Amino acid sequence: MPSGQTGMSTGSREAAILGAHEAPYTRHPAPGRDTLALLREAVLGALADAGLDVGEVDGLGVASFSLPPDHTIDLAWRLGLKLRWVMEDPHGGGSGVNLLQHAIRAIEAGDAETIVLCAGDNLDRDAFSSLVRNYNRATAEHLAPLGFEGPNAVFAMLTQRYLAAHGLQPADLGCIPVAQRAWAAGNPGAVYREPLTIEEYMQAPLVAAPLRRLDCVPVVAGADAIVVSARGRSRAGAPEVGIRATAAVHNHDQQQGDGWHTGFSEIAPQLWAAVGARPEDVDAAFLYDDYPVMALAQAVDLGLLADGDVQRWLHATLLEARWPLNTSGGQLSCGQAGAAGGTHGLVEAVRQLRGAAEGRQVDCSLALVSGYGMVLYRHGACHNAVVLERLG
Amino acid sequence: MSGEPGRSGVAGTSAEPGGSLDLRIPECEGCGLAVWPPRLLCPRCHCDRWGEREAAHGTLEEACELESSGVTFGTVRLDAGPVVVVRCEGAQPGDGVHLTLEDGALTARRRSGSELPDNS
Repeated sequence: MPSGQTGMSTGSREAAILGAHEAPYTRHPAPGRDTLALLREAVLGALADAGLDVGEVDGLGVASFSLPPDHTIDLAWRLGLKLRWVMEDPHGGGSGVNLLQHAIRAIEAGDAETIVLCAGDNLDRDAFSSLVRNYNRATAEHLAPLGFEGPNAVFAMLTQRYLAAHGLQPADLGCIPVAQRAWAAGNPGAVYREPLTIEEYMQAPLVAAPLRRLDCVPVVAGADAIVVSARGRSRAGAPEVGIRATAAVHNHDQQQGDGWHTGFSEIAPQLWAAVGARPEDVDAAFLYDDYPVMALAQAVDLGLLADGDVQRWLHATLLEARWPLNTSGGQLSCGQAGAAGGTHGLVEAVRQLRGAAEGRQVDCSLALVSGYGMVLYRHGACHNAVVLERLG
Repeated sequence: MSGEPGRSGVAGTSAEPGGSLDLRIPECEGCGLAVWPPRLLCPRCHCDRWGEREAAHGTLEEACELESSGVTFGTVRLDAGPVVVVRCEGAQPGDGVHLTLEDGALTARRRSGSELPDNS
């Protein structure tokens, strides 16, 4: 099984995350706030957060659907960076953790000293429409001719399968967007912050039954970035964030399964063994929430539900006890800034672990972040996860 | 279509101008696995040689109407094996369906009584 772990090995080159920043998400970006400007803002913000200078950067990784025809090297040139390490990841919701997995190795191997990983998009209506119809060959050749307008239709059917298999009602899944909206109230960067009730959730217009408007991430413009370097190099005075372990599996079911038996169930045992902790030891989780059902399926498959009681976790743990899942409000409240969705959870996890989550701070020393994505034909093909810890 | 993994799976048996084609899909010559959409290597045995088989029948497992366009999408489990995404024309979940390719759109219609096997 494809996987990796940083393990507990010690050494001067053990990687850490030193800074994080999100260029604020917005539904209607101001003129000039194009993809390149958003990426610049995220890169500069993350470096400032780490207390490092732009001139120290010698590695750059990018995820952006709207960067072409430019690539990482073009962005680096526009940023005036001289680099030893370049990386680009087109895997959408899987890109953030995937880039991090590569960056950790580069730092530990000595291929780079200071890496910035950034992700962002400003997709207007036409660009978004073109993106979802031409996401890959399978989509362009086999879904677009059906009248495919994006993944809502296939995730509606996935959600139908999940509800039927678990005896749940659509309102049960509403616990996720409603609970995340309560977190968003404390996040000035969330696009949607007004309180939400289950009743209001159920009154939202249908998109594709059973999915309603509040099950579908709104398209926003924005960017995220993190700084990866060796432990002890931060000059910001804030705690650094260590990487306990990563794990990944892609194409686990060749697009032939039900979609809610995710690849995370295959990687969870080795992930937790490498972490040296149990799922219940995690203080907060940042799971890729393109749809509520996927956040739930990931939580189950990664072992967060100790007793497996989905109903209780949704209503008692998330909604009533406010267990910290996606404390930014997640993409369901912040929006999806294209490929930045794959890095959004990493940025929020770093903020929580460093005590920088103003307005929504939880007691957090160990955090789980997942990446999920590339809706290849029927559901996501990429699955990866990382467990992060506060150092010092 | 041996060794031709691309669109050659989109072959039909009732081609006529403006008409529809019964679905035929690639079948691995190594292990017999049928796939849709077409692949480069068999996901089971990694063979690169492909034949073709009839795949016009299946069962509609789920359907949903996209409110914005009125198009109804469906998930069909083909009798030949693969689970595919279709455009539904009148069929309901649980129905046996007949699959055709219409201008590249895989379309599922409820099978008429004469098409249904004896045990259904």
